[in-house]
Amino acid sequence: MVYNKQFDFEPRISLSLIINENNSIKANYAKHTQALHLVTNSESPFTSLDVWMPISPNIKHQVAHQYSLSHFYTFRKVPVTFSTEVFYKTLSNQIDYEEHANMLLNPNIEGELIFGKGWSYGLELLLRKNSGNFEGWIGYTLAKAYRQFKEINKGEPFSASFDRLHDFVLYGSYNLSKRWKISGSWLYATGATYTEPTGFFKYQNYTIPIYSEKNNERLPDYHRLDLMLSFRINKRNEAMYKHQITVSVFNVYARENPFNITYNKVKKTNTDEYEVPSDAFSKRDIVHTELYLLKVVPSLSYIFKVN
Amino acid sequence: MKLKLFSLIILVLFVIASCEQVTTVEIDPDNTKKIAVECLLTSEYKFQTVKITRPFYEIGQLPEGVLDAQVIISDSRKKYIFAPDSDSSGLYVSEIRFAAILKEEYNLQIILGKDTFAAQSSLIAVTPIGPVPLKPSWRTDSLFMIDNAFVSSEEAMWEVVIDWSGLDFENDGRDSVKLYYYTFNTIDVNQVFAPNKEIIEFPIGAKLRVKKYALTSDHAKYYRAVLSEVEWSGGFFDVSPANIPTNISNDAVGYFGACTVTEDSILVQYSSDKELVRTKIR
Repeated sequence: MVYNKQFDFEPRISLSLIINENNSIKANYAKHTQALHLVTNSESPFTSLDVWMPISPNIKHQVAHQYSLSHFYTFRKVPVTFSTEVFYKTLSNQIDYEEHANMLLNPNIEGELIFGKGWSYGLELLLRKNSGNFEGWIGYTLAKAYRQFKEINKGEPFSASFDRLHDFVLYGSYNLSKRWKISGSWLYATGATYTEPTGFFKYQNYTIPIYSEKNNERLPDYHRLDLMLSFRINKRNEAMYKHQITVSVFNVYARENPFNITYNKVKKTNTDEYEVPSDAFSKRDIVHTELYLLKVVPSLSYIFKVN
Repeated sequence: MKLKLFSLIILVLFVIASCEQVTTVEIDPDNTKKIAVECLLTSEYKFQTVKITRPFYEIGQLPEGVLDAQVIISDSRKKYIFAPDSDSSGLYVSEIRFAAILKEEYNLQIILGKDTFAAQSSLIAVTPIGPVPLKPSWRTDSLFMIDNAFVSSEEAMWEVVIDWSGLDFENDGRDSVKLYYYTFNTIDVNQVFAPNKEIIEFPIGAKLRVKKYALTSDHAKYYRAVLSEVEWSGGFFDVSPANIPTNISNDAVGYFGACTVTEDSILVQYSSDKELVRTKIR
C-alpha cells in the first residue's frame, strides 16, 4: 500500500573549461531533493534526541538549488593545487518548529512544524598538497546562511544556527619514518549564533527573558588545535592484516569553547558551581554563565584493517 | 535498561568533561514591551492582587513598579476596582474581598496613560490534593525534601511553603521557603535533562502549607514556557529560546490567570516506630 507519493526530478549541469595545463574553470548547477527532514527542537550540540521524519502529505521534499563557479590552479614545480569557488544555494520546504513546540512523545508532531525557506552564499579557498612525506591543506570559507519563516522573527530573515562567517582549517601530516606519522589540525570559526534576551521581567519571582530577534548574537569565536601521532605495527605496508596505534590530543591548548550562555542560575553556597534557584522567597542574584565542553581530551586508539 | 545505563554514562561523561563559569553579557535593550503583569485570581475569598512592573534590562536588577495605573477586574455580575498598595511598588489590591468562581469569565483592564491593556481568563475545577510527596534526604534521616512527584488528573501548579521557624535548623539564614511544582500533560527534552536545581531540605517538625491551583490548557502552556526558559534552560539539551506566550493585549508581557485552589497544611513528624507521619494542622 502506498501511503504517500511525491515526485520530483534532480537535473544537474556541469561545464568545464580547461584553459591550459595549470588552469581550469568549472560551472555547476544542481537541484537536490531529500525525502527526510531532521526534526529537533534542541539547541544542544548532541544529537541523540534528533528524529528524522520522512515526507508525508503535510511535509514536502526538501529542495535545494545550488549554483557554483570554481577555478583550479595546479602549480608547476610542486604538487600543490589551489582552488577557488563561489556558490549560491537556495533551500525550500525547510522545517522549523512552533515556539515552545511539544516535540517529545507527541503523536501529532506534524502539527508543531512550520515551513519556510533558506539561502546561503559564500567563497571557498583551498590550497592542498596531496603527495610526498608532507601532506596538508589550508581551507578558508567566507559564507552566510539565512532562514526565513512566517511564524518566527516576525517573518524577517535570520542567520541560521550553523551560520559561520569565517571558517578556517589548517591541516598537516608528516611521515617521520615508514611507520611513524605525526599530524595536526587547527580550526577557527566565527562563533555560533544564539538568541540573546533584550530584556527581562519578573513573574512569581522567576526572572523571565524577553527576546526581540532570533539568533541576534554570537558565541565567542571557536578554535582548537588537535595533534595525533600514529604508529603502524606491521613492518610491511602491504600486509593483509594491518594494525595501527594512534595517540591523539583534542584541544591541546584547552580552549574553552562555550556552547551555551544561560540567564537563570545562582552560585551555589561555598562552591564554584551554579544551579537554578528553587525558593521564590529568595533574593539571591541571578548571573550569566557559559557552559563549555571537552577541554583537553587525550585518546588512544587501535585500528585493525583487513586488506 | 541498557539504553538507560548508556544515557547515564554519556551524561556523567559530559558533566565530568564540561564546565560552567560566570561570563559578562552586554544586553542590547529593546523597550517595545511596555509593562509586565502578574495576576493570579483565585477561588479563595480574599483581597485579590495584580502586580504591574516595567521590564528591566540588566539581570539581577529589581523591576520598577508601575504606580499610576487604573486596574479593574470584572465578571458578568460586578466590577472590582483595584487600588495601589502603598507598601509595595507596583502592587494593586482589590478594594473588597472576593473569590473567583467557576463558569464566570473574568476580564482584566489596565489603563495606563493612553494605553489600555486587556485580558480574559476563566477557571476549571480543582481535584483534591492527595498526600504531599516527601522523601528523606540522602545525607541524614532527620531531614526531608519534597519529591517532585505530585499527581493530578488536571494540569496544576503546586505552591509549597515550608516553615521551620522555631526549630533548630540552619539553611542559609532562612526559616521558610516557597517552592513551586507543576503537573503537565506534556514532557519536554529540556525538562528531562534540566540543569541542577537548588535542593531544599527541611527538618522533622517543619510545617508545610500546600496549595494546588488548577490550570486551564492555555495557563498550563504559559507555565510550561516559563519553565522552559527559566528552570529547564542551561542544561545540555536546551530547546530553542522563544518569548513566553501572553494573554494580555497591547505589547504587555506576563499572564492574567484564574484558578480554583485547594489547600492543605501538614506537620511532618516521625511516629514512635520511626515512620514518617503527615499530621494535618489548621
